[in-house]
Amino acid sequence: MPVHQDRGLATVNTAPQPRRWLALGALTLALLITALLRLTLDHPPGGGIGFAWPDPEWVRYRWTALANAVSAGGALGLAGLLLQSLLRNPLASPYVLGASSGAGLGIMVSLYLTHRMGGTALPPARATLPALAGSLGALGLVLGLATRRGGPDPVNLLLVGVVVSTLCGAGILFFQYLVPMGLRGEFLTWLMGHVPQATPPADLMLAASLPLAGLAFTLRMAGALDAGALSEEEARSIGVPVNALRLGGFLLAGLLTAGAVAVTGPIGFLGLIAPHLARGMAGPRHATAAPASLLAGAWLLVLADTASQLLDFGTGPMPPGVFTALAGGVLFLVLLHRTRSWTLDGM
Amino acid sequence: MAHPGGFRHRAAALLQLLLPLLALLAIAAQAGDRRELRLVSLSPAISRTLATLGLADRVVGRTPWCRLPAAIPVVGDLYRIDYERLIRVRPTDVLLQTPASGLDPELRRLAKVHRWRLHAWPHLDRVTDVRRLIRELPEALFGGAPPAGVAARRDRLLQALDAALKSGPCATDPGPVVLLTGTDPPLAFGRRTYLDDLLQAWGLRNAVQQDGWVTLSLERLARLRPATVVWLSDRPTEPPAGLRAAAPEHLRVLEHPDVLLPAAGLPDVAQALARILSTLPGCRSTRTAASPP
Repeated sequence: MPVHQDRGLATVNTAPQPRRWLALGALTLALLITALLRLTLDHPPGGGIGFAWPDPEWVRYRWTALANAVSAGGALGLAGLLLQSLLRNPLASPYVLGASSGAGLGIMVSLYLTHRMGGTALPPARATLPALAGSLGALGLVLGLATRRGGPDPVNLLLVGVVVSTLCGAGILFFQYLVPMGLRGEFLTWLMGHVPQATPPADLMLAASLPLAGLAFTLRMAGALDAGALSEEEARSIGVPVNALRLGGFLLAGLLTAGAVAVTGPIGFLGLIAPHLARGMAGPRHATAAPASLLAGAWLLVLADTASQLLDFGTGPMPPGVFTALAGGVLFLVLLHRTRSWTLDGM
Repeated sequence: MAHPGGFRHRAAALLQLLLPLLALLAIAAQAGDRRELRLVSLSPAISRTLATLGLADRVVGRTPWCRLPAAIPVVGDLYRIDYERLIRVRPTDVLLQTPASGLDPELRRLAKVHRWRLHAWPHLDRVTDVRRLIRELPEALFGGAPPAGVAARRDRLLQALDAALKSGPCATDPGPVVLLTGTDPPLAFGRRTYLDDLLQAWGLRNAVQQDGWVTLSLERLARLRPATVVWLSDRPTEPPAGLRAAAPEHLRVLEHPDVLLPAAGLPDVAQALARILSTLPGCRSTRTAASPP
């Protein structure tokens, strides 16, 4: 029988290794089955819903949507895991800490400037840089304002994250206000978030390479991240370079968030749900929690995109962010309740 | 040796056979064009114009906001196209307004691969844009020779639009007018919009001097000191309470399904707007002015 000693995020998992691999296998299987559903779910114009292998003429759109959902979902899942581990806060996520809104603001500013200079909209590959600047800027601001006596305070972190997220939201509205009516519609549509059906191959490769590179980096840091989850003093005492780890981790989380937002627009709460699901199944050790978070994020976004194809009230598929925000909002409240009890207990 | 006269005779006979055949082929090709016309409209204004020209039955794909039969599938809108659905409705022509960010590269690629004809109108903001759309749409779809019914409807529409512009409602100046729509704060039709063009053509004054659609607070509205505020809506709805409180005696309401669409319904909208403006205290009707004392 596995023993879990709960110390916030620093749960020491003594679950046998085969069970952890089983969890990874289960997540992979869930992703594959959902991907198959997404590929074969057929909703012809004016017809009912059924299952059929798509015509070669339009199967590429489903493959592209699938690839985009896997890469963006995986990136957000991994970014969420990094933020929760580095901040030792189960409520941390790119969305809650303002990284997603910051990336969105970066893209809006670049779209506005491109429009002012007479250009057209930015393709995702070129949107990654401004998104990265916005995402890292927002994360840096949150950390800078929430850090007290050398470490980020969990409650402050959330409060400052909400405020920075709101400020970035206000910035997005400001730039929306500045552009003419036609472009305003495009801005609004982008803000709803969606999984694109058509992406140039180079952009698709870039989007897919980000979470893979992130996973490789996280696996390399896995031991240090495990040790860092205990406490800052304990981690330092066993030689973990806490500051360097934190800096590298935040940079990576910012980059992953930026890449995801550049592809799909803001998708709420995915970075919160995926790491919890992953740790619940594969345990907290980063060697398995990292690939599990990536798989869980990818699976959840593919699932949300598949559900969005089913729900069409005559105005086109529902934005998948609606589903992730609904599920994530409920999970956030549950976690907030638990964290409050945990804090009151003096942990 | 062949007789030269015999050769000419044979050539003439061949031509006599070929010419009717070619004519038949040309007619068949034209009829085929008309029969095969499958239109996708990614703009509510274009859909409205297609319907007025009698081409609604050729539309096989639309946006959620187009007022066309619900049985016609939705294939996306100007900003987000569902490519799979678009391919599956097998259009021959895709009609749209060019988005501010330019034409979708994937749409262009698909049009090239499937030999769809893309018809994009860069702006639909002003009366001249509406006129151009009405004039060009049949030509774009049928080449130089649109079917008689379509051509007749187009000509009637253009005449109605000209007539609407010529005959203003007031012989006297009723004072500055503000045209509002939207929620609270409302949006005003500023200069260089299709309804402003109507006011200008009728010799009336738009109180809003900025270009395009302008968000107007109640304070800014009060400072403009309009003689009349016309609240425009495309469905039965009440003006915002703040507006009713701010300008109770100057407020008029115009409900018309086409009032927010720069499209073929503009002549009807112009008539409805003229009727409302002609009831203003400062407006002496042009009909009264023209009639003998």
